Amino acid sequence: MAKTILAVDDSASIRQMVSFTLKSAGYEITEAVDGQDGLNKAKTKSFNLILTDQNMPNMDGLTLIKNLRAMPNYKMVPILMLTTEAGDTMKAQGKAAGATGWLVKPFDPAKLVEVVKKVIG
Amino acid sequence: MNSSSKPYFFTKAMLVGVILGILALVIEWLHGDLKDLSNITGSMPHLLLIGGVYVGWALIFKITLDKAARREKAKWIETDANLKSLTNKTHTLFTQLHDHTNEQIIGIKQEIKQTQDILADAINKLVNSFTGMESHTREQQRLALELTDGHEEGAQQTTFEDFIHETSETLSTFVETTVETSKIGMSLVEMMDNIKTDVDKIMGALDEIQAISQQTNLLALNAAIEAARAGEAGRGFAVVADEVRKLSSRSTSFSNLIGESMRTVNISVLDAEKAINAMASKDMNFALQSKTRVHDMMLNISGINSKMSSTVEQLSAISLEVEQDVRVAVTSLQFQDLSTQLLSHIQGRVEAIEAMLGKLASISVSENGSIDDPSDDSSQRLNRFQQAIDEATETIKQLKHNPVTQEQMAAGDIELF
Repeated sequence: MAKTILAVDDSASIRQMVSFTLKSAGYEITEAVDGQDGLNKAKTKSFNLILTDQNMPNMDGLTLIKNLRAMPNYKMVPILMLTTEAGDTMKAQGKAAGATGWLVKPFDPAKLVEVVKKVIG
Repeated sequence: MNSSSKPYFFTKAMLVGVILGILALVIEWLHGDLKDLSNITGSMPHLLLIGGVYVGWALIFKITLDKAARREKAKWIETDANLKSLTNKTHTLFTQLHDHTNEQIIGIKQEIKQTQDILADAINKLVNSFTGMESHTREQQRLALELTDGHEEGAQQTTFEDFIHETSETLSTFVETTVETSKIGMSLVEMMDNIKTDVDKIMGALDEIQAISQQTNLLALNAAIEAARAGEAGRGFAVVADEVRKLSSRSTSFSNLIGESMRTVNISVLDAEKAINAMASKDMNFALQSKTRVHDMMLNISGINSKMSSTVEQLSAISLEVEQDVRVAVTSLQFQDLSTQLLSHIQGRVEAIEAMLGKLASISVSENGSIDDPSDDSSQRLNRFQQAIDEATETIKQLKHNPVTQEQMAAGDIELF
């Protein structure tokens, strides 16, 4: 059975490219348009991995991570940030919030698949 | 200065006159003109004169001051009017500046939005195009590999290689069978030769039988002649001689019949030998030619198959290159997200400027200080200006953080915590 990934990004093109890349690698992808949408979808379905942007309307990535880590079934689920932000301060905030890793946009499709495989197999 | 202050001025003038009169008395006393206070009445007219002079001076001074005050007031009124005119002009200019700037800012915001929409639409189509291209290339590669491998997922098919091999084997078997048939034909020809030899031998034997029969007939004729000479005694011998001659004739007839049949057999054998010989020769030639042609054909097919395999390998290599190109394209196409974030950030900066200009423009019409003191009005306006700029500075400070770090479209760093 294919492993499930929740891709959260307010950019439709990024969602599309993430989805295409990971579907080609055999994963099942669910898309969310912002942090709030991602949180709602995470409440209704379990995912093996969350991939989220930082700067989004309604709810940003760090807030989403904090909310997810507060949920018992998402305490151990890997969460990767995929963002244009690359500052050390922001990374430290992400790490403190509970992020598993930090990927700076633009992403290389092959490297994204490599990292996802490394994290969830 | 208004009319209500006039009584106060006269009181002050009278007071000054009395003070000056007392001062004059003191001076006269000091000079010895007033040695006895009883003489004071004597000097009263003098005192009154001095007082009157001072009051007069005071009045003249007051009139002069009034004139100066009126001129000053006129100047202040003119200055105030000028200031108000300047303020109105400033307000008009600020309003015009605000209107023009606002119009430009609205235009900038609309154009930023338009750019974002165009980018989003174009990227959406480009992403679909590139991802579709990669899917089609993968499908093309899969089909090409199926063509050479002959294996469809979940199905069992004969490969092209197997087909060539089986066809080659079948044709080889056919050629070998034909060669074998030709060989048998050649054996038959040899056998026919043997039969012909035997027939010739039989014909020779029949000739011998024919000679014996003729000799027997001649002997029987001689015996009949000798029996006739012997008369009655040779009558029985004549009967035997006649029977022997009949047997000889029958033997000759039978020999001739066999000879005739053997000649027919000989002719048939010769015909069969010719036919078999021709057939064997033809089969052998055909078989050998076929074998050569099949061999050449198989070499050609094998060559075509090798070329096809090579082409498919090249197609696979091209597919991998296309895949690599699409990877680069997918990485580069993310410029839309980066550009959109930068444009949003620019929009934030524009909105901050818009807000600041809006506040500055509204200050020039809303603020009014003291009527009698234009500087108060200007001071309040300046305070509000400062306040508006301070607020804008705070907003702009928050916008200093650029959400996009990248300056090029190379793939970003990856860090696992």
